[in-house]
Amino acid sequence: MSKMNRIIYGILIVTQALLMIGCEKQLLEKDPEATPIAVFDYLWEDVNNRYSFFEEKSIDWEATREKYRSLIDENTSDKALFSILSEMLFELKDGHVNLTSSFDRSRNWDWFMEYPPNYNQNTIERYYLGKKYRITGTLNNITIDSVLYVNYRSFSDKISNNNLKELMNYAENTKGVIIDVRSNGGGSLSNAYRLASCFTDSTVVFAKSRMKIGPGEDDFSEWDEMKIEPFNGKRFTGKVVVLINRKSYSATTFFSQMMKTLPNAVLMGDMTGGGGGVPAFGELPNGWRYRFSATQTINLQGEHIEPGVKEDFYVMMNYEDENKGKDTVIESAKAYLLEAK
Amino acid sequence: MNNTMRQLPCFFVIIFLFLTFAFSQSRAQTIRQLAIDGAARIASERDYGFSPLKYNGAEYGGGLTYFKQKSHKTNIVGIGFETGKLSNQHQTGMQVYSGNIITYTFYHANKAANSGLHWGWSNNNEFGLRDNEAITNFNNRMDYFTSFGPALRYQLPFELFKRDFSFQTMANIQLLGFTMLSSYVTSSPSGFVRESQPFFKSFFSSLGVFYPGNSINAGYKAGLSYKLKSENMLAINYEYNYLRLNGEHLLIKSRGKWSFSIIVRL
Repeated sequence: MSKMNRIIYGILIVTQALLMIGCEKQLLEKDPEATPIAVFDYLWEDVNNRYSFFEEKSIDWEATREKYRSLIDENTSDKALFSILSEMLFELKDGHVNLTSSFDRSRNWDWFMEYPPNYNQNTIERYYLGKKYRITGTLNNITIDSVLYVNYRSFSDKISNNNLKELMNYAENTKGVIIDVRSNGGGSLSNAYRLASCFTDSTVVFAKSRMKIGPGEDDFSEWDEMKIEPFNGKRFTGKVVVLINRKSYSATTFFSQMMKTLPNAVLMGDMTGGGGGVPAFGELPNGWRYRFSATQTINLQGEHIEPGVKEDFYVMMNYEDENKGKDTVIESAKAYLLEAK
Repeated sequence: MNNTMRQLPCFFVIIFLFLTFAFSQSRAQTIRQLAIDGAARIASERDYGFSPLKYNGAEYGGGLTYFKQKSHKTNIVGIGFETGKLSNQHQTGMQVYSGNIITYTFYHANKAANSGLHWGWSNNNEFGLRDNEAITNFNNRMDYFTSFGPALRYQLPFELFKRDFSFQTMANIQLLGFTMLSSYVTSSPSGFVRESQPFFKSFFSSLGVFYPGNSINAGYKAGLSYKLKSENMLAINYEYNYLRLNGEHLLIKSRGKWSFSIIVRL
């Protein structure tokens, strides 16, 4: 090959490489347009494809589209669009459905706002936990009248195995354990599994779940059993009362279902707020994010736990008790445990 | 990250070790070299499982490439890892991790081994993981593929100021293989959605087919190397790679990598 040819080939090689440099972004097609109509259509379509409770909640999503799309045109402002999309999502009647922008976050809180609170944190702090309670990781606890009272505020707060070992030491030789998850809005399901695992000596199937696996309304995976495995350490198999209210949601609903299945545990208070679908997330062409339930969970009787897990003993707060510094639900749980054989 | 995602990179490293071992067996009339790379990569990705928006940014990493040149063919096996933070136009961030093992076999029975045009074939095995910061559940999404396709390289040695240089270009297009991607909703591949299913059943039911029109992966690499007196070499390379995988959601990646290599003769 002549020297000139070599130079020409060399130039060609370098030119080829230079042509590619900087093309990384350009070779991916542009982001989709983010007009109000395009944003609406994207959200409606994705929820249509991936939301898991249309049939159970008898929601006509096509009709919802007709109702809200007509309110939007190319001149709709961001805040007006956010408001319309929020109202559309509100029709799903689901606490796991939110729309998040830089200026607001839409939510449906009807699942607890329409019911009495049935919980007073001040009463717990002043008259039950007091000044000498133990803070075992994220589990606040105290032994009252031979009963271990445990107050857990959020399943987002990690529970370690060491925390559970200590808790089981405190539970030993008591007449029972009260786990107060009232107004616990949920968090990580792994913490729910971990806590429930301390109260069983055997593997227990507590529910079945399935997930959306495609855009069709019947595109779900097969039902898969959900199981609690026993904790690898000291366990407590005496009586347990789990205190719940309408603000016990999501992972707390799953925890309640786990405990309800155990023969040594009962649920007391008011039914949980629900949240039986694990939420998935998405992002809109304008950068707003949304979430929605993408799975289903049923109890051993085949009923969805999305509306909530029902209590075994219905107990409401008595406001005369509350004024005297007493929590009616805790007092009922104590009485149940102290009377139990 | 669930167990499946932890297991896949291990599987991936085992493939590299196996291939390196397999290619290094024959000893007759061979030249062996090992390149150690440091790399910076400009990346642009779109995973419709997360978002319709592009995530762009820089990644950093490195790798090793083993060359075995015989009189009639050259085998190359490379392993690379990159990680970085990408973000979309609204500044939502996504941490990305990727690794690949790529092999090439080029044939040059009646030609010079270190110059001219050589045809051959290539096998790419790539794993990617994305962790979207704005998402709480199912915030990881993964992709894996193994594929095969034709490859070609052109080498042009030349002398400048009494020093030996060489231009090299190498291109491959992946046509056939299999894929494994996150499911429609969850981080796990579709076969692993049912946790109670046996591992191998889950694994095989997660596999998809990589074929033209459905998925594609193409790479182009150009480099300039300079031979030292010790017979070792220094090289600077630019490599562009385009990936399109069609699973439950479409995934597209467009990446340009600059790397600096020290090539040691073994």
